[in-house]
Amino acid sequence: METLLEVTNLHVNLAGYHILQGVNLTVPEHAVTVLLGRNGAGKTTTMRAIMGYLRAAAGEISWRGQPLAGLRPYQIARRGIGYMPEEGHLFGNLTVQENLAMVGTKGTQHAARLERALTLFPDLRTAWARRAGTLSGGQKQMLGLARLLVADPALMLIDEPSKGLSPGMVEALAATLCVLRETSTILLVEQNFHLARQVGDYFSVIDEGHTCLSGAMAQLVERADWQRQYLGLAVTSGEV
Amino acid sequence: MTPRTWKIGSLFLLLLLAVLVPVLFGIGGPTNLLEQVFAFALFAMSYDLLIGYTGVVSFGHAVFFGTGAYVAGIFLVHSGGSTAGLLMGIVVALGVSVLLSLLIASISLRIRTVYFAMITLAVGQTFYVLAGSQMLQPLTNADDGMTVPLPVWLMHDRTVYYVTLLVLVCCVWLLRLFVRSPVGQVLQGIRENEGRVLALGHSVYRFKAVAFVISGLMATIAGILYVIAQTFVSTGVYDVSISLDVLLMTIIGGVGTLYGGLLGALLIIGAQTEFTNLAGTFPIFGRYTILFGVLYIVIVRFMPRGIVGTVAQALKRWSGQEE
Repeated sequence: METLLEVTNLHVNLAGYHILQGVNLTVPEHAVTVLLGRNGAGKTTTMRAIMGYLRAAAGEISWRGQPLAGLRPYQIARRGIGYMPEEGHLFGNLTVQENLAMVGTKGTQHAARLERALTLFPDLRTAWARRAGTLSGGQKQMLGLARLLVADPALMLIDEPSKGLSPGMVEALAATLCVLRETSTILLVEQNFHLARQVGDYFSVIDEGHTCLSGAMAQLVERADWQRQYLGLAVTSGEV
Repeated sequence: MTPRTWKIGSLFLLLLLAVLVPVLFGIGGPTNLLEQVFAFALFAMSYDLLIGYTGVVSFGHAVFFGTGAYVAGIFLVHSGGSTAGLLMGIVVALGVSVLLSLLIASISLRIRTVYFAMITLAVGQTFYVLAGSQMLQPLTNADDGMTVPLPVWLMHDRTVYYVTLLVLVCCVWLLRLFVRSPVGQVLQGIRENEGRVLALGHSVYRFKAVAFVISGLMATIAGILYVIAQTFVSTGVYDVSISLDVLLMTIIGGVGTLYGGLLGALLIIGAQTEFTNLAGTFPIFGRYTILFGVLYIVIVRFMPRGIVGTVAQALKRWSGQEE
């Protein structure tokens, strides 16, 4: 399996604080890698550094073996990395249709991808002409994911898609991510371990700014002690 | 009735009324005033493309308006008011506008908005000084300005009126197509959040540059219309007060509505003319700029979407399209 993205000993300073202090991450193609960790561990900072919003103080981020250092976010996106942050990166004053058109509107492939996205998220059809700012939290996440699907990047960076969603919506989200994993490579930041274990093939745990554990998700599911130690889960594995 | 039907209906009525003005009110005062309104409406809409659709604030947009007016004027004067001179003037004015906008964009669009606004202001003032300088007197007639002869076929007021109206309608249609195109949608995305647009793989700088060039072209056409309507051009077309007037028109009409510029231009130019007339009897009306200041504050405070934006929102609420 080819490695799409590799992060080596990444250090990032933010507002005078040394936030990332040695993050290592490998994202293999055609798999879902889940970035886990407690609040404030540095997961979102890692995503933002990969996308070029934050400059690395040390370390390297490479894409298909080529360093991404010095590239601007739009140049990184053009190399095939799609990003959906916590808030979805939607344009609240534009309609659902306009938000989806932001990633291009031409070609039969685009039409097919749009159709696939709307089949996965039928709610978006009914909200087609509504402004994104008026959608519910769940619909916003759907729109964010649909836009990633339409853009069809080689790697999707998805940051806490379950945040703020009801348990029912989280189940629906898990089902959607399971569909996506069949055709896409995903790097997912997720606090909800129940969701992470359902969709993840691999995991990487960040704690206090550095990578402390990584491997196959099946291993982490087996190890209740790791879950307690690194994720702060106070219950036995398998429960939320 | 949906807001869309209202919009189409109102625009159709306005157009019909504009076409009938020479028939209903005759040639002269009303048509001369409206020719000015048409030129400034296009200027205001070009400005709305920048401020309303892209979120870029320029205090020197008059540089394009003035360049359109001056270049067309110079060619008309030096060709003795020939059609060829007019056509050459239009082509050269548009070419100069593209080069100028690309130059300004390359030096200032990458920097923060406030500095961009300052640079456009500086460029505008440079052109103001250049147009009035003795060095360019043989070309521009310096501070005295130029009386511009028109081709014979444009000598009738009625023809000038319909030509300016036709050009305005065509430009509004083109602007409408542009803001609704995928490029227009990306520009609106930039206005909302540049960082989000970057994540979608779009170069914010390039899109802003495109908006600046298109906006500059439209302002240049507005300047050409202005010189055709006024048959006179002076350094006043480069004055910062022109840029501020257009900012006022755009904000009163409605930022980000495109058509707001039409209404804003009609209100401001109509009011300016009316107040100037009244000032003959009541000197207090000579200070109408104070009233404009108050109007500006009232609109920004109570109708931040401008008149067109507020009405459109009310119609949407009324028809249940907006939550």
